Amino acid sequence: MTLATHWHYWMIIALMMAGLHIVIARPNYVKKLMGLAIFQVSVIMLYVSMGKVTGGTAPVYEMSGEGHDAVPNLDIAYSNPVPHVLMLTAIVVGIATMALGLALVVRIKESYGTVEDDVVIEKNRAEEESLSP
Amino acid sequence: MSEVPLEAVLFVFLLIVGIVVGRLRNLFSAAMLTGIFSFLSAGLFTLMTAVDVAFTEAAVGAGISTVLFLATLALTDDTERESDRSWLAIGVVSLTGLALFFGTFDMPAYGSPDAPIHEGVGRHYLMHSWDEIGLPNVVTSVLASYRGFDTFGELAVVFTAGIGVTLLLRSKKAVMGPGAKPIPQRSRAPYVREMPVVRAVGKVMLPFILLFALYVQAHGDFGPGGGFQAGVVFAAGFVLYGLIWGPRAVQQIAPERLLEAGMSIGLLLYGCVGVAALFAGGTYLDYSAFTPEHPTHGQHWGIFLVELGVGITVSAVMLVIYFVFTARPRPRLPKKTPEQSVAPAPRLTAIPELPTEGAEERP
Amino acid sequence: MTLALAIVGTVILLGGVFFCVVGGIGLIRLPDFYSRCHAAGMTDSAGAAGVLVGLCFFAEPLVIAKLLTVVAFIWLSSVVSTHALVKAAYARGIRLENPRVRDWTTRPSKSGEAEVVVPTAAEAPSLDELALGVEREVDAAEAPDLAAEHELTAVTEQEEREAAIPELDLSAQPEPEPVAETDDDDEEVRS
Repeated sequence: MTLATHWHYWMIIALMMAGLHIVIARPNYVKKLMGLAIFQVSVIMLYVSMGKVTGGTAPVYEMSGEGHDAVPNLDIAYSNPVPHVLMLTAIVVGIATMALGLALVVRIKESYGTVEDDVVIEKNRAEEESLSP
Repeated sequence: MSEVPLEAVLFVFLLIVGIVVGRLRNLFSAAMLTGIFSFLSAGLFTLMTAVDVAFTEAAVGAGISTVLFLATLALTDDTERESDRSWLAIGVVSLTGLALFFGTFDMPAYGSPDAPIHEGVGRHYLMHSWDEIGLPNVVTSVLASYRGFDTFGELAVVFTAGIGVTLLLRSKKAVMGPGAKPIPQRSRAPYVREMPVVRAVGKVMLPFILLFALYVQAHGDFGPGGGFQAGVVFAAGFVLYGLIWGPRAVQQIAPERLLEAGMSIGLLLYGCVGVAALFAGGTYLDYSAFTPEHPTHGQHWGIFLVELGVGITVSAVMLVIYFVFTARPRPRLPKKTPEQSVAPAPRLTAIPELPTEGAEERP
Repeated sequence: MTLALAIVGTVILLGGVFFCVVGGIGLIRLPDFYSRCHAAGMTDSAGAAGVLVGLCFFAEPLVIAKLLTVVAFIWLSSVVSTHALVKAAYARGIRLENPRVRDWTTRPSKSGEAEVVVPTAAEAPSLDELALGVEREVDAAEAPDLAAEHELTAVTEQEEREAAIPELDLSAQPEPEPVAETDDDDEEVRS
């Protein structure tokens, strides 16, 4: 295990931590969602990097021959298609949850008047204390 | 030729962008930088030979996601205040990073062909998908046929997101009934209306964007592409139209009722193809049952229909989300005190003195 | 033959790289927003075109066609978006810093004073609204509880439609174009 063989994973971990830091340290909900997007992209990158084969090409067959007799060249190295498929799903699901998260942030803004998390928590606590006897 | 320098440069840029996004207080710039982050990572994915993933990330992350962030920022605050919990955050992040760093010790070398991940289904798909399915793009055959049920669930998630956003943000006042006041020929978006260049070029680009979306939909079998990317690019064309002419103009050409129907029809198509396979004698989503004498033909048909369903639902959901976000009434400003606006306009330069001798000096 | 092509291609490629570098330096070092936009636009137009056309010399005809198509689309989209950025900045109230450069968009009126329409802080659309092209509804009602207002209650479709549409007078004739234009301008700019 050397720098030359593992530095990709370490850079990806650094990116992950940058995203995680934004989620934890920033009070603004929209900024947190941006950090979450960064975190998500770097996790996807980690999985995709595991599927790469050195000297391999994209997992699309190189066809030799013409028309109906075209035959794929199975002797060259291809990258593993399974992580790509899983990460395609992950990207699309990520955008779906991002859209929902942003919609929730808009409603929070309309209900509480702010999107800073500590102010929202304070208002929530004050509301609950005023409601419960 | 070694790709290491290129990958290293991209990684460094990504790290810089990731750190700067956290530190920027102007959220508009942060949203743009998030789009740049997605775009740079799409470049990295291409270097890692994940072309389908790169395509989807560029379309989704750098396109739709940025529009959604901007739409949210238009409804909430533009800037962020300072926070004082940096030390706790750095501590937690360092611990987690250290744990993950130790976790990578057991991982195989990057790009090693003997990695455990390559034994098993990956090799089987690469070796046998030509005989069993017959498509050059192995990712599409895995996505739509081998792991077709997974993709069905993913489409359901997209559909659920569309429904969820509609439930959260759909406003009574935003619904355009059939008798609503028509939009005049000139654009209603006030400050964009005086941009003839943007309007002309938008009109030129729009058919190419839509045609490209159809091309991506059809050629997902032969190269990077497929239903998701096509749906996102198709929606992006309409979003471009909406950015130039205003969202109400888009609602005239893509009525919301049609989009809501489209959301459901795509998912229904996907499910029905599976059920049709059941009636044809195979298991759920086993497309070979359609043509038992030529299994690959049935696979082609099944994949075509399934990707069509994916494309329809994804484009409809993206457009519905765009509509719902932009139709949400803005926070109202009380007319009496204009200084108490939500986000004061940042003055980047001072306004110079009005030239009083302007009338004589003009040639 | 191949060497000559390679040399020409490399020269054009390096030219494109030069424009990209110059554009990048200009983006940081230039003092004014509009000059920085010019530098960024140079990256899009000359830099991208130089790099892609230089690559054409190393490729086969089908790839050359694709590269030239990419150049055409980059010129259509990126350059025009730089233009849109500059227009939007002007609408937002950002003006030229250099007092020796005259801003010709402010035309002096007949009385001799220049008319500059600078939106105030309250009226200026936020950057996101400019980007999305949406209008802000400024009417008199305050809305402290927007969440309750937008609650989806069970209303009949007829009521929904009646609530959404303003009164539409179908008997009114369409206004003649020239008169309506100035009216529209004033109304839109003030709102």
